[in-house]
Amino acid sequence: MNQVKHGGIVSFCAGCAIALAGGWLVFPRAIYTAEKQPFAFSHAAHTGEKGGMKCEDCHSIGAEGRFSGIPKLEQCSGCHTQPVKGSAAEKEFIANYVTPNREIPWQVYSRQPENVYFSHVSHVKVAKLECARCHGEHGKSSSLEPFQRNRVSGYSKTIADRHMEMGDCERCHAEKGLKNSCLDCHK
Amino acid sequence: MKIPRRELLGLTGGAAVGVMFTPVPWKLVHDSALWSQSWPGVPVPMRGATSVKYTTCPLCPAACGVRATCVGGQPVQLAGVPSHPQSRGMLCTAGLVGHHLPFHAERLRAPFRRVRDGADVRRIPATSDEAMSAWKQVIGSLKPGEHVAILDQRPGRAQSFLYRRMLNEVPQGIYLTMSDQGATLESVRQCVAPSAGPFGLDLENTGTLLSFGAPVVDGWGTPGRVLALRKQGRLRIVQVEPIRSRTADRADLWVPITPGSEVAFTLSIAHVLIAEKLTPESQSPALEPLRKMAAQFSPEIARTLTGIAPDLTVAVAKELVANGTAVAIGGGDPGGGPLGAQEEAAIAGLNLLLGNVGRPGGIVERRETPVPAEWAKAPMAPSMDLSKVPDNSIRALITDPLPSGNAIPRRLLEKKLAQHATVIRFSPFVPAYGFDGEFVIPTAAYPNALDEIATPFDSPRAMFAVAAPIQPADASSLDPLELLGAGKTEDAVKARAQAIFESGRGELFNYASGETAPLKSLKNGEEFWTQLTAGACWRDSESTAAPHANVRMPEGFLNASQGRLQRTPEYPLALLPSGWRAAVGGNKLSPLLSKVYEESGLRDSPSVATISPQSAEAFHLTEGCRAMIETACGGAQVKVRVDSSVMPGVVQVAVGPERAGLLETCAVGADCTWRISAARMVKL
Repeated sequence: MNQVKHGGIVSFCAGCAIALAGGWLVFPRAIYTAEKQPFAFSHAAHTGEKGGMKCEDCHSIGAEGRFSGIPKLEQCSGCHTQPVKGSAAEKEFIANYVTPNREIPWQVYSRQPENVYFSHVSHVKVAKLECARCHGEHGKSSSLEPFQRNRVSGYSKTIADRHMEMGDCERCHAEKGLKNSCLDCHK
Repeated sequence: MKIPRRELLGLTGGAAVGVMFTPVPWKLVHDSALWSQSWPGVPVPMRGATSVKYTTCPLCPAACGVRATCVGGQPVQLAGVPSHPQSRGMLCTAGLVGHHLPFHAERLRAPFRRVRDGADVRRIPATSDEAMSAWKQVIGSLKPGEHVAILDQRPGRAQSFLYRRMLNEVPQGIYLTMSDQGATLESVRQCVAPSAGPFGLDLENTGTLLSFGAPVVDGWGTPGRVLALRKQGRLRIVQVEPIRSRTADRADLWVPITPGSEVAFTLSIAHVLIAEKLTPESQSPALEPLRKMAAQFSPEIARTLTGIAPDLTVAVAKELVANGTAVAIGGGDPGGGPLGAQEEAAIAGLNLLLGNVGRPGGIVERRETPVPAEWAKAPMAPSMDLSKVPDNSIRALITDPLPSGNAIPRRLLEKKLAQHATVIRFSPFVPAYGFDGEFVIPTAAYPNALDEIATPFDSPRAMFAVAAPIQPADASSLDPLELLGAGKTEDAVKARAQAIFESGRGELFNYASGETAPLKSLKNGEEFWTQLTAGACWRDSESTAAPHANVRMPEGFLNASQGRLQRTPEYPLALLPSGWRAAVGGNKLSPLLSKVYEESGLRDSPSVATISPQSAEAFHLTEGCRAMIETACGGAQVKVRVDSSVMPGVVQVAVGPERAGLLETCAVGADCTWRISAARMVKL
């Protein structure tokens, strides 16, 4: 009888341990799929001392205040019709996209839900925020990390990791003494 | 290996407990919430280039100019048009989110018919052909005294003329309108020049506006116009109302009045003006009927009915003559309905006494908007106010889809409909209430519908604008004129635009450039139409009509009143329905605005009844408790708000958005008003 009683406690503890291990170690990884970006793009090769370019050279804000987002192939082709440095990644890029004139199917790490309108011009030009405030040191990265898509929500893991969720927006607004109205972001 | 049941249960229990201490459940809840944003049916804005389009808002008669920022052609943000001659760059909250309406959960996609099934009413699919053949069948079987009718809440549009022309061909066809917020102006016209053109207000030169319950800062005429004048400090407002409403709160003076005693108060002001000879018209023989009535209402006597101290009445009378031209207006509340013919007659009399008709800052005549010669000559069916139609006489009724922004109680329509009447409603949305057997036919929803925007009633000059579609209407939307065989809406509006162009009168204000150009500077009617549909409004040149000399107040035009409210020991409270123009009648609000009602409390929620602390004590009600409001017509459940902004003995409820039930508790009087009902409250 005692064996049966102890067996119940042991199995309870075992179940608990399995759940804790699965929940903390397996689940946080299993909830995401990892998708490779189309080719190995290096921000570091373009910016800083090596490239000398600034974020806004490619990710510009137009005269009408609209943020261009990720540059179109046309913009990349301006410099890369022929290999500039001759790296394997550059050759692959020219062969697969520039020569056949095919847009690059980037997975956007910071893509926000459709019911949100985020104005880059308000944050970059008016509030004078650095790009890194939300995007981190992405502009200095030498390779692109895999795009980790949440299996349930469909959004990128980067949104949570880099603090680009609604609560983060509210917190930052509160720090700057701005009132949060739904219509500020949700149209 | 056999696992004992106890161990299996232990393992499962342990896992269940353990998982609660991991991110699994919380992360899944969070991610599921995000996933729900991408459900099929959730509108997804298009991606593409940013562009700007212009149109005119048709959601109420204010005719506000709209600037729509579009992404990939789809509107994502609406705003007012700066320097618009009527709306002065403003847009109400409902107008700001009007682009959500085509995605409203109650957007109608196909015709249906309501059918009674025992105690329930079901919706069954129907076709527009079935509706039209039902209409024709009734026309063929009308008996003497019965009518078929079209109810048009926005008269004066191109469609209105075509409805009237079509109804003229129908035996016993009548064209119906409803009393609107410009009822005072119409009453004045009846006394001054019944055959003259419509009257408007020269508010830009008005000194004091005496408003009898009209929500002049947020839901009367074109609020942007009033707000701009207030901002410039050019217009004083005296608000006479039993509730400290949003307008009363912003007025220079709020005069709390016993509900339904407006005639007595108006006459007591007239009494002071006449007794103290404060206006030159006080001895005019044309105003003899008014003088006779006013003599019976000294401020002291009127006090017993109005509850207003004589000193305050004298102060209001003196205010009206101390600040340039003063105008008194009624018109009622969008939810509470019209004030009533007697109240409007009394207010009209007060305007005549103030001598403001035809004067700068007063009530001025404007010319009619031109119409094609063919329409002007064509015989038209008579136009009639719904309240004047004999009860139970309408065998078939069609309602036009464009809302007036005023509520229509179901009880009022029922009163006028014959038994088993055929009702055909054109609407972009599922109507809040229905009738057994009625057909409901979908029409295009703003901002994807084309319509004419007629002159707002308060405008001193004729106006014409087009609510041009920002995007094409969906295929399920039908055109009422086309179904009735009376033409096409677009052709009708275009024909009227051509007639205006040919008149050569007035000027065109361009929304994009903010510039005004004489109509004569345009090359042809096609250019005029192109500009109108791209965002422009036509304004007539200033009227040169001389002030009317033949003021005449007919005997019997005004009767002394002992007040509207008939409280009884059983129903000791006065129930006052009120509403916001964008949220009552055929209008629907963007679901986003639920926050304005339910969370922010910036507007009264229809589930809330406001009562004074004294009345709350008398009925043992406390803040936030649930209660039943009961009248002789029925009851509705509400949440109680105790607030001294309402007078003792009064309970105020908002009758929109939705919650048609609250409006159904209001009694519709013999004169088709429903603004005051005797009521009681019972705590639940």
